[in-house]
Amino acid sequence: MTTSDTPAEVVELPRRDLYSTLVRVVSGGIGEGIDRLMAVSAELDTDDVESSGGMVGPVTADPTMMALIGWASELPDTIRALGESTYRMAYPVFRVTGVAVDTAAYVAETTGLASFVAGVTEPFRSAVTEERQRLADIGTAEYLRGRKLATFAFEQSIDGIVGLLSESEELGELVREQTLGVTGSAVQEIRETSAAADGLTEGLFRRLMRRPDRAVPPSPPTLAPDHG
Amino acid sequence: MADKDPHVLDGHAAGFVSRLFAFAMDIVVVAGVVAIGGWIAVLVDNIIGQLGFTTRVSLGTIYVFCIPFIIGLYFVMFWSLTGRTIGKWMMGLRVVALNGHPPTIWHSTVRAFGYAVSAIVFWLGFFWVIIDDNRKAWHDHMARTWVVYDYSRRQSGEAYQRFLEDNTST
Repeated sequence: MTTSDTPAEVVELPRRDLYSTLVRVVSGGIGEGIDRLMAVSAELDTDDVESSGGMVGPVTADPTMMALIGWASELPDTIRALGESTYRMAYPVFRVTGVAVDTAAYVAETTGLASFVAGVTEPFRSAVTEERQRLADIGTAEYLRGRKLATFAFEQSIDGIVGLLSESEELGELVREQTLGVTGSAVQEIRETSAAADGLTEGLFRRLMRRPDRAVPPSPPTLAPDHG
Repeated sequence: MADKDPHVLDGHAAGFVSRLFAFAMDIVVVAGVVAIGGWIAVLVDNIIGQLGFTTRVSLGTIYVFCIPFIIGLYFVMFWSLTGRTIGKWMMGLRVVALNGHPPTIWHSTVRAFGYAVSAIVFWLGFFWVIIDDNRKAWHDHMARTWVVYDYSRRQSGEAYQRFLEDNTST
């Protein structure tokens, strides 16, 4: 076979259908939603006091969870101040020391040495409480900020996707066209079936009445057979 | 009979089964319209009662007597305006006068009365389509009308094809 006999390579063109269009529109909506979220997040960052300070705290907020969230939020700043390794070493020591002090205080109280030990443990205890409260406050603010952001994201995403779906002319036209196509096919099927049944019914009765069969049904005298 | 392709039948007299389906659909539509009208009549009657007005005959009773006129109005209006009711439109049928146009209001009114005549003897007037040489029921003979196939609906799929053509470029 010579080169000229080689058939030209047939390039299969991408076929776009309703599904691919839907995926494209929805993914476009998600992309737009992410952009909006980034913008809102930036706004919240610049207006942090307003976004978290004036809000009522959650009823079911767990102080420990808030403290953990606050700790996680605080972590970057702490790392910058102390260094990551130092902090990670200091925090367990801090916790273990707190437990040890609490244990010592309990022992002292039960053995009658409370007043003596209190002078040593009380400043440490108040420092721990203060630090824990500070972290819990940060966690509460972050939690509320996250909820606000999530609520906004949900509303915006739904609005955006619905808006894109409704604004997409090609998708609307496709849905309309395919719906009409399915309905039209069903109607056409019913018409064809009933038209065939017309002929069968009439043919049966004509045979019963011994009348001659006919090829086509009658038509009004003034109406052309190809009337549309 | 060459009844397989409906487009070949355009302009020819429709048979019993197609007309029966169309009539059944019209009955459903008319029943819905009458039901909605009845609901409105009862609602208005209640409002009148709540306002303290008393009437000798309730609005619902008056409405019951109006039902035949509502049914007649439905058929006469559709036949004289377009030649096809909703049921006939679904089944691709059309009522035409001898000149090929939709029947006049007079002919439509006669045809509507003819429905009652056709139904009065065990619906024999409707079944007459099967044995009549011109596939005409009693009311068709009375109003001098024909019921013909009319599959002039445009085929769907144009927009879809256009979409494919516009979006398959590399």
